[in-house]
Amino acid sequence: MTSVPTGAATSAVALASRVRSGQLSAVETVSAALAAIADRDGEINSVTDTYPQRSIEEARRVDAAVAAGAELGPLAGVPFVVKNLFDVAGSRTRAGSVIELDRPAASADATAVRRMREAGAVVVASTNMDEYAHGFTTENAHDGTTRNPRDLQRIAGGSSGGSAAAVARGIVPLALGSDTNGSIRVPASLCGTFGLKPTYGRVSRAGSTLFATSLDHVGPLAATVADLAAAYDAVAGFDPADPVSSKHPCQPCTPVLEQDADGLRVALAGGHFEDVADDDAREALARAARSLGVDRQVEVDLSRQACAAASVITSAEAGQRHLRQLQTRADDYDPAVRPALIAGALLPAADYLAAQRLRAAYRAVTHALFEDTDVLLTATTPCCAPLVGQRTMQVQGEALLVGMSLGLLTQPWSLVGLPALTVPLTGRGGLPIGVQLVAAPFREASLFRVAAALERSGLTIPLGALCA
Amino acid sequence: MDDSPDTASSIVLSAAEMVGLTISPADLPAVTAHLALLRGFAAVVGAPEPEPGPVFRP
Repeated sequence: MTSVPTGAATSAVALASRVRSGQLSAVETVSAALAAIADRDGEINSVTDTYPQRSIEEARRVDAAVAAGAELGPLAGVPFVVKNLFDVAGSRTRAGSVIELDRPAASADATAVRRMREAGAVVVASTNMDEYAHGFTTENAHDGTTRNPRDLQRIAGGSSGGSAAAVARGIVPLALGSDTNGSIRVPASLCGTFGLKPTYGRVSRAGSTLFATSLDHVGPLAATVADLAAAYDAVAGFDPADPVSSKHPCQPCTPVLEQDADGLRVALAGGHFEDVADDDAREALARAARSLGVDRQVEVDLSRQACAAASVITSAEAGQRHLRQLQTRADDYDPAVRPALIAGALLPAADYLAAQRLRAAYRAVTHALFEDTDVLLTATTPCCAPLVGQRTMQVQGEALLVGMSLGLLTQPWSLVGLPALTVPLTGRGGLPIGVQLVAAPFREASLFRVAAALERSGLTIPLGALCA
Repeated sequence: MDDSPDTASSIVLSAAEMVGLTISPADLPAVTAHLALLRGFAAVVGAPEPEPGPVFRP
């Protein structure tokens, strides 16, 4: 066997190809990922639980299949991690909380984990997150803070911060996260990885701990567009175990990566999306637009109200979801999360229903917009990663609360379930910042075509940038 | 209307009691501040027309 490239130093697709051809064993790739966690995770604290026995056993099964000449999936032998709100059979699903430790171990994998496994991938660890996915910073009172691999003084973003940091650090090439208001895209932007929030209902949430159910999505994070597409293709599709799962036909996205973005109608989103982007975010967006030859800008009415509505709906649904537990175990919550959940539980029904009406109006606005536009471009986050512990951030002269505002550019699209993909660029100061691509429902393929074009242009953070 | 912090906190405590929640004195300022923030968001949302009602389709 040859020496083993670990994590993001080699793409998931390339690793799988070598495993399928017998050049590399799955046991070697998985062992290398486990070693990378031991060697490199200490300073970033992205991983909360590892699965050495299970993962090596799975890897042996992959290798046995190779030896038997069986047909293997596109992610054969690829190690991956999952936010610790996904069920992994035999382990307790923590959701960033100590309360969940009292529950029994999961009896089966979450659907998304199972589908990754069916594609040949091997789950090696679960990752840190904001408690119950409530937050954008991954500063967890129980499991500690996940630090940004690009600058250890800065946050990784959240709530899927551990997943983004593990990919950015090159520990694994792929991760799964969840996204309610931006919790895949925000940490992907701040850490410098690709991340996809698919259309609402496109990827099953069965076996994951929900936060605000009418807004919760599941999706992949990766270091390359091809890896992101391979993971998305593996997990997308109808699942009767998730009541919001869609039967809309799935279009595989790996085959479209070779197509260029010509013929797609791409536009910049103005108004709100310019107002809450700082100079780093604007400059990165302008670079991406120039590369794509985009100079058309469209207004997306009601976007500021959409952010407010998303916050109201999230808080009300999360507060209700946790009400019984808050009545009996309030002291066991993260002190930073508990007051927010209680406040959500006290929101008047009139506020929630008004927010839902605004949601319907915003859906009409965005659907009309996509009649003559295929992909919208915005920054993913208002700025690059804030410092650990920082409470406010300056954006266009305004002091914004970090914990509430990192999702200002991602929340509107979550509210109406649109697919959104973040592409990692570098800001003027050397920190990562994402450019967000948004499309009509179930048009993930358009997002992948534009993302691939940006990657080919050389603008994006290269594979293996932090694997040393 | 009296919008002093004491009044806001007492309203929060009453609302919490209605849904069976107990708020510790240490948490009360944070809960009150967070609820004020959420009510502020609700004000930004305003009062959209009631049609088509509280339904959701992606």
